[in-house]
Amino acid sequence: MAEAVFHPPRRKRRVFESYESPFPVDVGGKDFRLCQAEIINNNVIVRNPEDIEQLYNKGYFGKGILSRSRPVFSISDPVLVAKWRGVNTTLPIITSQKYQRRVQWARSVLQEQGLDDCSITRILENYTKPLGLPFSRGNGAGQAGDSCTRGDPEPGNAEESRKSAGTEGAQSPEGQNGGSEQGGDAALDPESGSRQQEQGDSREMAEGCCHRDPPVLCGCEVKQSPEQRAWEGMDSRECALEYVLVQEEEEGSSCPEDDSTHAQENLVKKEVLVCRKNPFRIFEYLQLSLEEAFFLVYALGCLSIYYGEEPLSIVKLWEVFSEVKPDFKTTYMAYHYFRGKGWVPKVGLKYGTDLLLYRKGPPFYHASYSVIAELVDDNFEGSLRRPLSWMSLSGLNRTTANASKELMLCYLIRPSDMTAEEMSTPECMKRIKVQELIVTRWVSSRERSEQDEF
Amino acid sequence: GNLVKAEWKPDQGIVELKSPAGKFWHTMGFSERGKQCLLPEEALYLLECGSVQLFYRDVSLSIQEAYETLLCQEAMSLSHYQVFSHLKQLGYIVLRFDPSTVPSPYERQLNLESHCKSSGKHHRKRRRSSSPRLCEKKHKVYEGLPEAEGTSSKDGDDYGDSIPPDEKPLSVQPKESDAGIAEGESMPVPLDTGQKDSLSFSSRQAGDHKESSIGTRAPRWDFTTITFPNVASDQPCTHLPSPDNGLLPENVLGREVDAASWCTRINQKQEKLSRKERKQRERESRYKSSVNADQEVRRCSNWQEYKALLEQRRQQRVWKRPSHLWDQAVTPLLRPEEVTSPAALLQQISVLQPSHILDGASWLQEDPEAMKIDFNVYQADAVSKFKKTNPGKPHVRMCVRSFDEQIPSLRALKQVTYLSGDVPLVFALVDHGEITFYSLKEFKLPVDVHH
Repeated sequence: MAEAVFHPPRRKRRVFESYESPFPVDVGGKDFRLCQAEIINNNVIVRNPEDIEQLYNKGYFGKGILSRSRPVFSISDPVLVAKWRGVNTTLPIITSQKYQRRVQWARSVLQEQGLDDCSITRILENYTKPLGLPFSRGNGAGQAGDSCTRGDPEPGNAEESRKSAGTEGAQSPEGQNGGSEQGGDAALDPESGSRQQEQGDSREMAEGCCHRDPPVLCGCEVKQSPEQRAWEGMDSRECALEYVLVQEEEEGSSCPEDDSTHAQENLVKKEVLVCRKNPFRIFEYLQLSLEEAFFLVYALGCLSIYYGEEPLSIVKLWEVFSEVKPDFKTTYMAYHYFRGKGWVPKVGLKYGTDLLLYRKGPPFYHASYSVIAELVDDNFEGSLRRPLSWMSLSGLNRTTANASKELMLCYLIRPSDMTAEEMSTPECMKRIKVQELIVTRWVSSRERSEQDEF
Repeated sequence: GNLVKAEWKPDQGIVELKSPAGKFWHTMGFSERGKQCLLPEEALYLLECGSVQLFYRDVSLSIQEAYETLLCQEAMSLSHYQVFSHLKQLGYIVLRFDPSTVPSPYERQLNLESHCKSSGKHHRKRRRSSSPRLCEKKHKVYEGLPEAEGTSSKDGDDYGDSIPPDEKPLSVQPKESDAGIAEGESMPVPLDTGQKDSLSFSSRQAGDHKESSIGTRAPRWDFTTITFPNVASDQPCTHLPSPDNGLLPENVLGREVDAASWCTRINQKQEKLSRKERKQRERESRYKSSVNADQEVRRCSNWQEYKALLEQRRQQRVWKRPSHLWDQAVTPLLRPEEVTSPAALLQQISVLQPSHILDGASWLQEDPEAMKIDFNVYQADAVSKFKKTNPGKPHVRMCVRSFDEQIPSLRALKQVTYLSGDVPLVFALVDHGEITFYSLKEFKLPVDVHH
């Protein structure tokens, strides 16, 4: 009997990231951070931007809901950014059309809240008025930070910003849906670490705007009790303002007195970048799969998952996730096993399997294994989640091999005397055994000398 | 040269050569009662190659007829033949599998591969000489724990092998707080004693009131005596004692009330929830649990204790040991302050046990339903040294299956892998003449530790 040979993973040719840490918890427990997530519609979502960064950067947990994997959503248009390279700014640059769309959305939200058109117009005009001097090309000089004032001193403005922020806060579940429809807008290249930087800046700029006056519609509560503040901390960041640079045509750039030789120049409207506040900010959250979320809570203890205001215990989560996803226990055990070996499992949906295993993380190596997990009893039989014929295995193997991966079957062997009660906690894993198998295709006509490997 | 003539003997299911065998005799055929014979698949193959002429009842068989006639046994169906033929054409030497020729693990351990067991066993198909021969020494004891392959760190590598389950450091000992749960007796006070206490409370209040008028500094209320009335739905609190007059405004009289009669008049109808409300309730019931189900809450016997519990929880919530994770029966696996290296971290969270394909396989062997192995296959470049009478260890063994069959269960796979001994096993799938070969092999993902 021969065992399958381990083929070391192929490193990606271009790696844009540096490796931080295998897990969001460090050896020795220094700088321990407890992240927070919540359950919304049976999905586990992380909203706090710092938590998002921690969880994704250290172990590649989760997926940005508006991005391919790493949460890098920004409304900034890369074409415009390239065009306005000369301008020294970190703010997102968008077209006027895009900005107007957002104004429209903010308008409809305010309409839904029952405000009359006059008030809406007044609010929006005030909110979206240009800040600082518009800058045109050749106008470099780092105006970005200066022209956009840090917060707004007038309470009226703060209130309006809170109103919009409040609408955004209230929008958040719908914002997600709306956002995901807008997925097309967010089609940026994934290697834009700088975008996050921009968001961070704009957030910093407008920090602390919220807690000045009692909010009318803001999502965040200003009770100021310590427990509230700890929980609501993330919301104050969400209420922060987003400043954008809108590419617009400058009015009045034509001079009627010019003679005909300059006539052409008159027709060319000068394009400038105007700094305005974004009235409809879309937030990108990190979505954790049930397995990832449970691992962070149970194996590492670095995540708390809330339903409403209540954080859930480990046993409760085990129970709840099993209800949401009937095969959760099986897929979780496989996930836990591979994480315990230092590999990074991600969802295998695109390849028709349960998990894809990466060494270190998706940015560094191509996924090596595509895994199907099955739970069997200690007679090594069980009702299979994916009963495979040789035909389907053949097809699955083919697609897997085409993507340069190996197909792995992961059997979780459960003792027959394990009761349902025992399985109602994750401690049952201590008695479960794991059998890995690799599916390989044997080619009969291969060169004789190559066959030695088999 | 001349075609070798051969005759099909249906009652024996073999083909007898009527003229001397050619070169093929080196790797095919066998001797029986002084005669040279071929197995049906060998004869059919040679017929297709044009090396033999096949007769039955003095009539030369066409290839078509030969297919129909010779491939009627269970051991050699059309699919089997197609695999045989495919491999032969590629130059392999293909023999039928005989389970008794596979040395048991014990025999292998003792290096008895060179000695045949079949001194007492005679087979129609193969006869072995009983003289001992030197054989390769390589043997594996695989009944034990697997050897990990591939690149892996020394730390994580040994883990699976060296730590037996019951000595694992992660076995969770029940915490002290859980011990408290067992003491069911310290539960909330049942109703009657509650009543008594509340009665005594009001009388004591009167007493306290008198006392406090003398000792001005003593607090009016003795909180330790204020019990925590159980007003849960399972303990209807319908008897309300008369309140202390000192608590009431002037000229307002209080009296004792028995609200039992009123209770029967309310909540007569079942509340009808809208669909949305029902859905919400379902969702919430999934995640929420009653505060009374919380053991720690039940242990509080008065408001002071309850408030202290809430305060403690609030504090813990923002610190690294939140109570909803750590004051429970099941706690997180990792204690970061206890691990000193990334490898140790992985070790602390690894709770699942590894298993080897051959674990438990030896006692699955008596199963009549077990899959059968069909062929032993030897590589073409072993031809020159090949000896029919002692073929040695095959390159691979083959199981012929069909495409619409389910892949073998883990159980079946263990059985047949064990049966194959230390020779790799390949499944040959036949689909209308097209043959694909797959193998399901034991694997252990190496541990990857980053520093």
